[in-house]
Amino acid sequence: MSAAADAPWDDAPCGLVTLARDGTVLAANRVLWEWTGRAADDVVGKVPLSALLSVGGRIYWETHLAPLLEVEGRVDEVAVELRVRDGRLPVLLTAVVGGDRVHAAISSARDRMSYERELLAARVAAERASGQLQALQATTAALSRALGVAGVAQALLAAAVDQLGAAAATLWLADEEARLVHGATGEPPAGLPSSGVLLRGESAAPDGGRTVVPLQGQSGLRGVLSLAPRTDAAADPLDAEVLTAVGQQAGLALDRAQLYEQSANVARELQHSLLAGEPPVDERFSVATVYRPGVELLEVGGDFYDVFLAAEGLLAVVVGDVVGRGLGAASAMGQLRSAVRAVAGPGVGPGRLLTRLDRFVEQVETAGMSTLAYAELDLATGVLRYACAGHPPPLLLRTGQDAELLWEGRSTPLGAFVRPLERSEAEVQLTPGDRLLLCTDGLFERRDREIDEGLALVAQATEGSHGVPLDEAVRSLTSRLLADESTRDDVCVLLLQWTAGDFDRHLSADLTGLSALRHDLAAWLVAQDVAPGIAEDLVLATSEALANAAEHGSGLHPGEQVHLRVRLADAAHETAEVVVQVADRGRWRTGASSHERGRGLTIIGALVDDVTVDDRDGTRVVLRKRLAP
Amino acid sequence: MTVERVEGPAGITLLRIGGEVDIVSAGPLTDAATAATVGARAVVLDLSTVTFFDSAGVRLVDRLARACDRNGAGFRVLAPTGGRARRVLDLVGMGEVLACEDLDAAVVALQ
Repeated sequence: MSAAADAPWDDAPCGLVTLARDGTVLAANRVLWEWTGRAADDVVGKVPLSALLSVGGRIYWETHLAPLLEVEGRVDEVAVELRVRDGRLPVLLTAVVGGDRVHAAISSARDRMSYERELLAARVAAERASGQLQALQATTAALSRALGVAGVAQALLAAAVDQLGAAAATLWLADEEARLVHGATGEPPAGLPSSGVLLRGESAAPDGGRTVVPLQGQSGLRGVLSLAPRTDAAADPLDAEVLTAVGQQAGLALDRAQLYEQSANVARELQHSLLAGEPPVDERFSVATVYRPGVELLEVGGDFYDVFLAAEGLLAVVVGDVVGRGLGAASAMGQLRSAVRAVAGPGVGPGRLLTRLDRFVEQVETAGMSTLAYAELDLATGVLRYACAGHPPPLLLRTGQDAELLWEGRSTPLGAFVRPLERSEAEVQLTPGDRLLLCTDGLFERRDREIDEGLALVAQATEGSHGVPLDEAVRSLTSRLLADESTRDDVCVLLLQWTAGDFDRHLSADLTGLSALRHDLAAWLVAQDVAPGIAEDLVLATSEALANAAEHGSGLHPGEQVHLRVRLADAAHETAEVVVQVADRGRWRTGASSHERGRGLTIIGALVDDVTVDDRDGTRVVLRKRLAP
Repeated sequence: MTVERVEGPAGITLLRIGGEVDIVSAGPLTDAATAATVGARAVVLDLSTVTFFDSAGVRLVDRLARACDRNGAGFRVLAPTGGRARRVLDLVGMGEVLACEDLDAAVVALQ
């Protein structure tokens, strides 16, 4: 063939070859010779095309392609490998039978193969990136859900293994003094990363076979996450960029968590300091309280209680619930609690107190719709007056009786738009030993039950609590009702017991006020459940003793005083008795009036079970009267 | 607390004391009651409405009894069972002799 005629053959963009039907190469163009590096003279008419292929290609030719050419007359775009100077060249082979010849075109597939490899690699990379993005998102979400520094640490350790592909992780957190404290998951806490790695700053970096991720907050290094890689075959290597991003997120999350904890601590401390005041001390009552913050310990609610003297001998108890949580609710609670104390006073009473609090609440918006139970106990008489502004009713616990919910004296929450002009109040007479329970709704309110049902459970839980010391009673009641742990609300419980206490009076020796004192003593005795007939006798005996002391000990001198103390001893037992002690500073003189004094003593002796006179230091007369028939 | 003097049946002078009789009130009451017995043929002291009565009341009754005796007048106390005065008079052993359940019984006792 002439050079001109050879040009399209030789310059074709592929290898061209003509074979005999048995595969022997009869001719090939320059492209093929250049690829194979073989001389035409060594090949043409001497070797088959298969000899130019790789071993695999040769077998493929002999077992598949040659028979196919025989049967079909052609093969199209079959991938085989050509032996070339520097190895093997992937090629696509197309061959057509034409008479006693076979014409074949061989095109290089090197570029296409590498393109396909790139495509595959790109797809794998895209899938990995998407997985990493998801891992990053899941980790970020977990971090933002976490409460408090401990919560963030836990979320981070969990994400390290579940999302970020680590086999195990150890977390080091900078504490307040910038020392590192740590926790771990999937391994015993690993050793501290080398300081060089920490100093390098903001990116995840390899450190002795592990990956170390600095957790940078706004104001410095918050901590370090150290990850052990997975060693199984299917594991992807840890991605430094994703880990760096997680480290930044975690640093900020730790910043937020610390701020949150600080604010929660302030709220909690505020609340504790507001609730911490000592109750007034008076032997006529005892009170025990429980305050339990919500299940999420960082959350501070607006529940409160208070115990104070509204006036001389008038005890005020209050339990309230300010709407909302956190610092705002705690400070509103503090203001409302102070307002209750400021408004309460002699002659105000529960109903008017609530009306005045309405006015207060209108000025302190955060206290609006607060609920409150307020009760005033006359410590001398046991008369209890109470009122509830949208609050659960007080529970009256009388010895030997079923608990009784006090449903009177109710009105709307404080500051409610719809409210009565004058709030109602109610009154109930306590007998000594009676108890009164005030609580917030966290004690009994659950999503899955009615309020009445919850109140019934409280009443039920108080059964058998009489005789149990007050502190223990209120604690066991609270823990029993909160055993299900299904409330997140905070809980405030106050248990009050009226014990009446001693009847303790001073009487001028001129006996002014003797009649009034007799009436008070009679009321006191009745309030102690002393039978009316016995009470009358005791009043008479006491009056005689007082008269004797004033007349014979102090000469009815107005400057002198006679001291009377009457107490109920062993009230809970059959040996219960009333003990009357009359003391004066003089000495009962014998003389002209001794006969008549004797008559007084005769009466006393006939009315009580025991009379003793002690005149070692002034004169002290003690009368005892048993109450059991 | 005052002493109310009423002319009762059968020439009896009825002295009625109410309220509380104690060491504070007994002195003036005793004086007033004693004065009211002057010239009486027979005296009935009505204590059925007292709300308190103690040994000072016993002294008052004792004084009146002595005064009436000096004047030759009969004396009884109207102090029904269950009342405050009767309880104390019984305690000191004076109820059995002096106390009457009602006015009719006192009139009968004084005849």
